[in-house]
Amino acid sequence: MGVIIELQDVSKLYGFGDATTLALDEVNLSIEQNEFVAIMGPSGCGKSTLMNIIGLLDRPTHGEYKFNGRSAAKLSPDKRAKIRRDTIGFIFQSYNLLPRLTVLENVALPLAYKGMSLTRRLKLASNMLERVGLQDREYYYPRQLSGGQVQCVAIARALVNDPKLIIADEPTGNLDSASSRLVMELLGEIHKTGSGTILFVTHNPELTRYANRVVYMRDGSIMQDETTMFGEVAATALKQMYSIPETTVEDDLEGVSALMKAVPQKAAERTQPSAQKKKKTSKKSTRKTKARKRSTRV
Amino acid sequence: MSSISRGNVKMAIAALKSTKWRSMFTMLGVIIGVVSVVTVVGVGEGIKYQVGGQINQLGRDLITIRPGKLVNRGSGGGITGVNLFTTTTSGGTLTQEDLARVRQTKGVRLAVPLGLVNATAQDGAGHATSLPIVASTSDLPGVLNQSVTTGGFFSADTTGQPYVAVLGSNAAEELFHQGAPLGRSFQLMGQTFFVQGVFNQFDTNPLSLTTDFNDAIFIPYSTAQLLTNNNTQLYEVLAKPTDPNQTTAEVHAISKTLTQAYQGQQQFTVLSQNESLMVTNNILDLLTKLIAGVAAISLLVGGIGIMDVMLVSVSERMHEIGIRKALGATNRQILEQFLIESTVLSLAGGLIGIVISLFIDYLLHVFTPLTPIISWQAVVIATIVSFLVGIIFGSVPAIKAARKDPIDALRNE
Repeated sequence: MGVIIELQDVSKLYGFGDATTLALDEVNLSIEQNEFVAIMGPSGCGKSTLMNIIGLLDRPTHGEYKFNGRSAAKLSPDKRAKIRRDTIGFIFQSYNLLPRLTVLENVALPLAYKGMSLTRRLKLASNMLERVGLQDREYYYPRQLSGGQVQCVAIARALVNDPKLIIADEPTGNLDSASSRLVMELLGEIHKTGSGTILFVTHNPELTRYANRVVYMRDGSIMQDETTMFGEVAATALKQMYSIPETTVEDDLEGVSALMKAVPQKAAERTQPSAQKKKKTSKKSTRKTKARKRSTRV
Repeated sequence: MSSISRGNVKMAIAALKSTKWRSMFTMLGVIIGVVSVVTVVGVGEGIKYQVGGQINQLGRDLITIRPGKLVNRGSGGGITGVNLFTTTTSGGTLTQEDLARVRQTKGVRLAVPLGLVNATAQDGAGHATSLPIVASTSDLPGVLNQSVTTGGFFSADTTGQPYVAVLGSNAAEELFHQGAPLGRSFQLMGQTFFVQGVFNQFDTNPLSLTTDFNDAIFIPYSTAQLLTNNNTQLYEVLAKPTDPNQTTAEVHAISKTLTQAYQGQQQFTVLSQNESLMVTNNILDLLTKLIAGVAAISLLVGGIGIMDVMLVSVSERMHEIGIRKALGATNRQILEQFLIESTVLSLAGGLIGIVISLFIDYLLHVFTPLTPIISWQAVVIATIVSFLVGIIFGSVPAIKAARKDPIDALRNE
């Protein structure tokens, strides 16, 4: 198995002078083909920067990055665009579908930049949507779908080019736990059936069970790198899970909003008939009160 | 590549539709520009065509001799310049002797005077009219290539019955409210004139330098002399050469005769119809270009409007650009996308403008004497120009979009 990603002393600096921040601090990382890597770490530890550099969206300030054996520093912007188009699939936390295009057109978009004919790319996109189980939503617009469905569309879009590498930057960050599981199962299945390398960032230790390798980051450096079994939560992550819960107010709010999203649909079905009942009873009660009033008059 | 472009055009139209009002107002600049340019050029072309038609009717071999210096001629006899501010009547007069000289010039077949009589004709009810009175001789129909529909023109010798007149078709309507008022009479300078004939309709143009013959009352030149004590103002002499192919040579010959007669003291303008067509066209072209130039500025402003809106659109859609770049769009493909959008915008504006100007020209045709002509060349040029406006003014925003760093663009929500 060949090495697909090789980072040597890669650093990334933002800003100038006093305002300089170090997003990545001499990171060394090597990922082989067909690995399923989870990257964990607190917010601001440089995970996204690392993803952007690996995904050829950004350039490192120092250090050497070799993608598929080629030095990324020597690639022109157009060459990078073509590599992104042909070998990398992106999945974002905020889905990043184009709102004005239908689901099918969104999935077909990367193929358009390849110069494929319209009928062929729509057919491929349709196949891909079938694979993620959304074929019946082809002509919907992204705003008409739920978050989980939109992320599945985004996965279909990332897969449509048959990429060697899939980069998912917090793919479940905006999703409730049910949708998160759906999305991760999908990624796991893709990994099983295909030969692609998958890289995903997550805050949720539970989700490391889908990966076979977990990389922990803090303050721009890799703290720990462990190989795990599929289906098992990584040992370090497990420790983190059962140690003092480091939930902030924001995490709580996120949980509440996820609940709110999850609840209304099911709740609405249940509550509708009961609401009608309530109305009836309230009518009865008003009658009763009226009757009482009459009786008091008499 | 064509499949991408087709998809891009579809995408561009979708993007423009999503900001319908903005796109419409942006197009308005181009629409106004195209409408004004196309209409002005169309009106100019229409007038040129009318002038040409009039000249064809009068005959290409007609030579006009007028007082004053309207054109400058080089040594070879060709026109080297046009004096725009010389009117037809200023700069001396023509006399009976001049008419005789023209007649005697070798190669002149016919020469007729055109005199203006300052008098008012009164119709049967005694109402005054403002019809111009033109004095001429019996050769006039032959010189003008025009026939008399009803009745006949007056004969060469009218001494027996001097008070006869031939009317232009409009004059007949105005005086008698009928097309063929043969034998009826009207009052002019205290005399009763009998109508002997009515001319066919003359082709006219709105910018004609001469009197509209359709409105004129024609009386014998000798009668005019009689009424004005030999003081009829001779404003033009029309001549026809024996050989129509020798018109240019004849123009020179007449010019030479007249110049010699006055030893260069008097200025005359001797013009063949081709030359007067050229003179009129020169003036018209100048006017058309001037107005069209001013109108073209609005097209420029329309282009700048497109640039503004596209710049706003690019900043608004930075995130979209980021997504597209992440998915593998090259700089060129992003450039193409925004160029297509601006071009669709301005091309659509141009086409709408052409349709509107066709409609305006139809209205002008119906409600005014103008008959604008929109040639296919004008349509093609307007289309190409609006296409170019889209490319040129769309390029700045498109380049801005294409050069954006993908990460910066993606961060832009």
